[in-house]
Amino acid sequence: MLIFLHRPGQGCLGETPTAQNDPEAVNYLDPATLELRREDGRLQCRLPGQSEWTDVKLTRMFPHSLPQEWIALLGPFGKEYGILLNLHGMSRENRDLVLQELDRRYLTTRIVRLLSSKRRFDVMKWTAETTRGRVSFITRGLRDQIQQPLPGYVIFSDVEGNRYEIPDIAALDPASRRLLEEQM
Amino acid sequence: MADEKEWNDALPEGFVPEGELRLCVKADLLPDGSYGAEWLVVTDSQVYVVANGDLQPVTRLQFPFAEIAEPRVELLVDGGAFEIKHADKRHELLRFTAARSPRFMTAAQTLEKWLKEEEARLPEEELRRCPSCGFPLDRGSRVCPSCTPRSRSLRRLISYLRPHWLPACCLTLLAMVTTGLSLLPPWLNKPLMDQVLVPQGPPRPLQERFWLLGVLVAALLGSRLLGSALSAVSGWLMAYVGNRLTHDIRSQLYEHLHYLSLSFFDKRQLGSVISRVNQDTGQLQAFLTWGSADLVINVLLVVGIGLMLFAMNYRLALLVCVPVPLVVICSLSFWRRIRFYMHRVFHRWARLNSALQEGLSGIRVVRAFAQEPREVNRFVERSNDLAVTGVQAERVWSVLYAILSAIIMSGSMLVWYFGGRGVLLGDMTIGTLTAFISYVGMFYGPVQALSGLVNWSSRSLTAAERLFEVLDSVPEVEDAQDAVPMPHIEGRIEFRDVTFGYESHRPVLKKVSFVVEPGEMIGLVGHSGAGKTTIINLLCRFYDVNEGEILVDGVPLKKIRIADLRHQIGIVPQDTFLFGGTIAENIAYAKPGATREEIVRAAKIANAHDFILQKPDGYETILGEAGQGLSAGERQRLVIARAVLHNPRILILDEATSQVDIETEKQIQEAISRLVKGRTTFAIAHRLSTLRNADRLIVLKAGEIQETGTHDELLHKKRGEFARLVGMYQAVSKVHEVQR
Repeated sequence: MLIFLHRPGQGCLGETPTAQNDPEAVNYLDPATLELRREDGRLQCRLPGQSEWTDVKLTRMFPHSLPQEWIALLGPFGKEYGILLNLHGMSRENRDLVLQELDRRYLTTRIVRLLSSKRRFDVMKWTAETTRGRVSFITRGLRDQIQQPLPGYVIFSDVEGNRYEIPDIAALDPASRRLLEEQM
Repeated sequence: MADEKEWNDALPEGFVPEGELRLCVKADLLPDGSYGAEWLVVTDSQVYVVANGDLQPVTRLQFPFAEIAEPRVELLVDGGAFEIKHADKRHELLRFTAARSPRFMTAAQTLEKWLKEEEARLPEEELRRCPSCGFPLDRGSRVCPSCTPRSRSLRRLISYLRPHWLPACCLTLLAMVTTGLSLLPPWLNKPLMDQVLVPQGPPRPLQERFWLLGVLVAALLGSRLLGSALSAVSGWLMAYVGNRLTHDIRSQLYEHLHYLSLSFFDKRQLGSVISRVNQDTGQLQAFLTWGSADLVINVLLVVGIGLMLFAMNYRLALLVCVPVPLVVICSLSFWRRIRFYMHRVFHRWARLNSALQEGLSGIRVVRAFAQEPREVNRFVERSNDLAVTGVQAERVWSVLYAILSAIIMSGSMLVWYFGGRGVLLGDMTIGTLTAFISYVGMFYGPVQALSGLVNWSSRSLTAAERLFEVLDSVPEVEDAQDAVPMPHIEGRIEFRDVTFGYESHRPVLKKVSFVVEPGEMIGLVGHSGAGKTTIINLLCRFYDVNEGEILVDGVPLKKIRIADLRHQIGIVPQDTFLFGGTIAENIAYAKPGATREEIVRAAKIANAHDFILQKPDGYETILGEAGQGLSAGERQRLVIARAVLHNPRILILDEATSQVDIETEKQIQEAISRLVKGRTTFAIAHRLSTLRNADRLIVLKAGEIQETGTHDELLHKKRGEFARLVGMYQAVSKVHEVQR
């Protein structure tokens, strides 16, 4: 079943009770009326007039192309409460809470600059400047380890199971770009 | 305790915890998300989070050990957080990247057991690392791909030459002779010029010059002919040695792959393993066949020609050497650039091929969704990319080649000018000059080729290295040294507190215990991921248990010779895999010497006989890959026939889920009930009918045994897991029936 049964923003919200009961409907949440708070380190949410959802996990549905839109709210055991199409109309505090929580959950390191790449056999050693600081990591067997989920978006997977992303190759400095292109 | 110390990370220097140290794990992220070290330190009385201070480590958080609860890892995307509860409040202690997650998960599990005062030991070590460079090694691999010296691989490669030492020696000898012969013609040029054509000093009689001309031309012809003949022989010998050598490595590799544990294949994509067998050996073969000969001959040529040049005229020879560094540098960068573009062309080819393969193998889907233009566009786009890259590569090639030729030519021009001057001034004969010029013409070629060959040989060594890496990985499941033969298994099977995870920190089975008597049929029931297949994998000893024990007829599984065990276990797998070959060959797969009568009997027991006879070629019907041309029900019955002929003591039925019509279903059921008779049988069953036939059912949920009992007992158990599953199954079947 395709997920686009209802056009985004066309408002299944007015008919919330049905939308929630109908397993085929995409259940959009209204960012303006959603109440959020953090308790005991976990996110708690409530829609007006409904009981509170505890221990809510935020999941990006399209993490590469739309990191701040299409955010699913999941409960324990992965049950979906609903989807925030975007954060428009959300109070500043709530918005900050959502962004903080996303930041907490998504730990993929972002590469700002590639400093060097050294190949030995099919082992590549990379040194890069990232948003977390400088790092060296090793990739192996090139084709599987450097993926391009979107044009211009690159993800490295290193031998230890860590991932490093470059969201936009075009935004890299020329030296980094050259290093990357030599290997792709 | 010795193991625990080994697993633990080193304490931060200068930090002295209170009490006896039990656990220390290093995290690699700071609370603000930047890289940095923090430690989780657990002693018998305290839990600390230690951070790096300005001068020495500082305690960032501290809890009394007895007051914490629920230690756990929250798995985040590409990392995790370690949490505990203290005074009914949750505390996030540390954060770490994905690389550290397994360690923290092990730490959390161990800590939880300690809190419950259960016995728990830390594993020996999780990820082996190269002691010299820290590169993480594959499980079972002894060789570090990052720091093995190249000379070692080369020595090892040469060791494969040992069985072929005679042809190899002949080859070396031939290479020397051929090189010598190719140096001869320019050398003969000299007397041809100086004594025959343009004689220096008093001319000899014309008759003698004619005779000499004949001799020299004959010598030239002879050396060329002999050279050609010898290079034909050495080409043949080279091909022989190269092919035999790669054949040896390839066969050894394939054999080794078959004896490696299945976990080796779990961690790798099948494609990359296949490419090792195919491409890496292919690359190695190409180099061994052509490259190594070129390497030897070119080295000999450079040395030989160099000696000739210096012997003839050392001053001119020095001039010849002037452009050599330039040629080497240019060639090296030339090959680098070319390799870069070759890589790119190769990659684009692969992309084009995958578009071609996907588009055509999915042609029904493409057509059904009317997406032909999209597929065509995708192909055209990639084809265009390939064309563009091809042009780029050609352009770079021709430009660089032109530059290189110009440099080489400048060298010859120097010789022409200064050598010509020498001739005019009478310092040098015209014969020496022509010989010299011929040698110079021959000299730069090998120099340039050598710089390319260095590159080629290093790539081939890489291929060899990758092959050796596979050859060096040791099977994790091996026969114990004191393994006992077990020619006849009765079929009593016992699982004692078996805990197992494909990754040891994520147990798939938790403390599973049960006993199965000989001849009993057990149905394994549970959701996907509950651990049914894992039980089977452990019983076949595809993997070894992490904790606990499996006993067959009272003997620990690890003590039974693997070959004996597997000869007496038969599997009817879910994927009804058939090999290329005839139906008869497929039935007799586990018993290659089976008689025709045995094969036919097996087919009859499996209810396969009748449909086999419907085929025009009967038992000799050729099956394509994966049994093309047979229906799902027919394939299932062939696989059952295979198991019948194998006549195992322990039978494993992994039922296929595919829907077949009622008649076929009946036939399959009949076949199965004949097959299980008198054998200990484990059935991963999806059909209720199979479950009804089982003596007992074991219901699994999340790696633990939820309930056991007969079909009827469990069905009537209120709030039982099995009753719930059956209810769900019936609801689904009703939907299916309505749809039909």
